[in-house]
Amino acid sequence: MSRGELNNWIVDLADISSIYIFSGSEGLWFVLCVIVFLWFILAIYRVEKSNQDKVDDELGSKENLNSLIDLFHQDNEEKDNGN
Amino acid sequence: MIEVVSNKVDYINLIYDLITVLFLIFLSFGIILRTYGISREKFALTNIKILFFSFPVIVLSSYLFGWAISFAFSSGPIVKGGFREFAFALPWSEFMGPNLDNNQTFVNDYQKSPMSLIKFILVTWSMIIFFGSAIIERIRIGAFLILSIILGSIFWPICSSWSWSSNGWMSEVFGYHDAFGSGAFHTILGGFALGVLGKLGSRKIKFNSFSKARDIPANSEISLIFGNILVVFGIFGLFLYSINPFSEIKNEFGSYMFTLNIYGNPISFYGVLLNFVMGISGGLVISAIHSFNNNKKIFIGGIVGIVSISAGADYYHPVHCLLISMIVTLAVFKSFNYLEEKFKIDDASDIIVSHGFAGFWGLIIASILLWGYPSSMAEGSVFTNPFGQFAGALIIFWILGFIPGYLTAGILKFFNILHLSDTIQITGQDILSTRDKIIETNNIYEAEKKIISDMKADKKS
Repeated sequence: MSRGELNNWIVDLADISSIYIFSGSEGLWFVLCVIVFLWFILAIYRVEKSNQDKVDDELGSKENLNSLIDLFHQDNEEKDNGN
Repeated sequence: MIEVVSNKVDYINLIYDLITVLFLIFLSFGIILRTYGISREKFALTNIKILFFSFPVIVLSSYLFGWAISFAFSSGPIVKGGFREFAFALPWSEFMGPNLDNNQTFVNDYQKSPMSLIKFILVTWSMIIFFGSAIIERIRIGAFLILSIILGSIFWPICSSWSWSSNGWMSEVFGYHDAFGSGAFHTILGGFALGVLGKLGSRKIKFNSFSKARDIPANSEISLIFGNILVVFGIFGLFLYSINPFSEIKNEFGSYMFTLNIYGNPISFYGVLLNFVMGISGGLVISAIHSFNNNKKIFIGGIVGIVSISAGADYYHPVHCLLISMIVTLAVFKSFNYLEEKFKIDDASDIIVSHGFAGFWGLIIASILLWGYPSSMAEGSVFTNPFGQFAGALIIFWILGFIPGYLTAGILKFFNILHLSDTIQITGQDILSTRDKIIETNNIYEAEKKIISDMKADKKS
């Protein structure tokens, strides 16, 4: 598969415009870019949902949340005492 | 053999563009640093990550459609004709990749150069992270990214092409004048943030059981202060972005070399620079008097000062800038608590007031002071006037800002993909990355305490 028509610089450079490879197949790159774009948004949602579910499962109960807040509080107190 | 005979590229323009990019990067990093400062500790790291990872989304969406929209909609369409030329900005255009005509284009048609696209992306990104800093600690990352695309690659490009371009219909039809993005950047940002926050609601701990707002302490006041300082000077990048520094213009009396504003009117570069520092000073004077002991707010005065003069800083006198920035900053500082107390809006970075309101009032003040000045170089353009400017400001704040933000957030809320779960809002988004560290740190503290008590026991025995 040819990567483009550019194979020599000893030509009238004014006639050359695009210098990237696979010139002429921009439509395909556009479609790929759209796919990557949509995939990224959906993937971020999926990653975030799995993290959220994990936290909800582990810490969603009132007791767990209370103990977590105590843990943060204890951590801050330790820091304050350290200072 | 290839011989380089001369270099026709205008390197002064290139250096100017690189300096602009540098300032815009300062601006973005300043906002991120400031957001880290105001975040609660258990959200701080995730907030940095969220804001930073909006960058690839903005790059992709700007490349795919945002950049083209910013040219296509200059005439409305319908108001002053159909769509303007935008084929060169479509993602499949040969100008959107390495192209030997890019260099020529760079000089001959400045707007179409890839460097302009890079600057556009950085301005868009800085707007998005300003927006993101207002809605932190309750929104899902995916929802934030979708809202970023709606604002950054649809409505801000439309706003920019309508009101902040050399052939935008607002300046030609309304006599709208906004030299440095008071409306196109700050007002739409405030309007959109207000719309989203109207649907998103407040953080769980923001209001107490008597509906009084709590003042959430800053996580790092040093980050907050330095972030704000970077933002104050980073906004200078927006000034540079809106100026064409070395342009030749002609009229029937001759040909001239001038700096031009975004509408193509001659301005004084150094005069604008002086007005810029006067605007900062006016805002800081008021914020220092009003909120010296409030580290969250004290430097916001500088930002409000700049925003307030942005609409007309090309034709103000420096003392006008000082007075306008002082008056608007005072009004903004008086209204900080109003949104919170009256409408229960929890704007974590005060974006609505310091950008939206300040930009809006800056536009109105500019229209009164610059009444009668030519709004653009285009023949048949209407002179700057308060009626057109007021209409433009309303369109930007409500139609391009508030309504799209409110509706998009409403749709995301309907599908239940807008809010973080209640548990995450309590545990913080950093929980998965920091939980083990906290537990281990506490274990080590406990172990050390035990060692110390053992050592004491050994000594006694």
